[in-house]
Amino acid sequence: MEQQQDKIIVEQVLRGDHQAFARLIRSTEALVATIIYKMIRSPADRKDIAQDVFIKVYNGLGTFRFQAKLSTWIGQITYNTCLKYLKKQKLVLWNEDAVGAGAYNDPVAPGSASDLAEARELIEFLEKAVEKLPPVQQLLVTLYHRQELSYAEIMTITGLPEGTIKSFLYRARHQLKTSLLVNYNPADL
Amino acid sequence: MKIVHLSEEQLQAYAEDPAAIAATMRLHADSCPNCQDAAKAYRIAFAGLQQFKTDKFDFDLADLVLASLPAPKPELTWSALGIYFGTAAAILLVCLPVAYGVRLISGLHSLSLILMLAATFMIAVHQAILSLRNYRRKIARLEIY
Repeated sequence: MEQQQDKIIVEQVLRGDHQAFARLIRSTEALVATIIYKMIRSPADRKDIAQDVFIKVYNGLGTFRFQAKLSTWIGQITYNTCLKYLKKQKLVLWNEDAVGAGAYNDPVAPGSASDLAEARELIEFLEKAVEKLPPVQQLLVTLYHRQELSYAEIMTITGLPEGTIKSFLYRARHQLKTSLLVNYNPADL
Repeated sequence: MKIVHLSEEQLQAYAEDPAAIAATMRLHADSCPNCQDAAKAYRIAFAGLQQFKTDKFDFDLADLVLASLPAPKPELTWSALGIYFGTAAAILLVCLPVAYGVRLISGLHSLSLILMLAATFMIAVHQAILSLRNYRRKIARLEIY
């Protein structure tokens, strides 16, 4: 069903229908933004990269063979474009030294999640804890838990082996759990 | 007897889906306060992650991208097709008599042919000069020339 929709939109764009391409951009923008925000720190560069991604998509659409979902393919282009940018800036997405850095070393005021305001506070706490993770773990955790992508889709996007993805996810989740238990009483959660 | 708690990996799997771990470990996890606390923290972390605000660009990406793309090719309409066929027919109508005329004049003496071509050329130049004068007069009337 989704592949059929992908085929229709690809055909429309290849015929020169710019409005169809605008629809494609709007439907995949959230995934592209997630990847770019997790990998790129500079707001100005995010804009250029986002534009560059969709120009690459437009120029490469004729070579798309529907082996994956169109959105996954666009995610892959986004990830590779960000990596290329980081390489150009001599930055790295992750290194083993940074992977162990703990979010739980920086305690936040303890609280209880018993009502809505505290639940909001808990989410903000988790957002801060995620921001302290290495970028690759931030990205994988967001793709898996927030975007609800499968391991196969994350593999296609990042080109990382399944074992590596699971290992990074394990470390990230463990860090978040430890951070929660250090800052909150388990009975109050 | 030593109590064996769930490993972190098993706890993560149990928090995501209790059926994902072996029945004996599940039995332990269901009744162990330590494992329950850890699993609860994982469940809260997973639920919290799902509620994170979505990253959004603060500009209209579609507009930005579309502005940098080449203009779309015009679609082939029936009226455009009519123009193409009409032009082709007009070219044929002109070319056929010319081809036929060339055959006719091929039998003429070369001097007669030169005279004919010179007269045709003079008429064409005269017509061109008349058209140019006419055009200049029209433009002058618009007072922009």
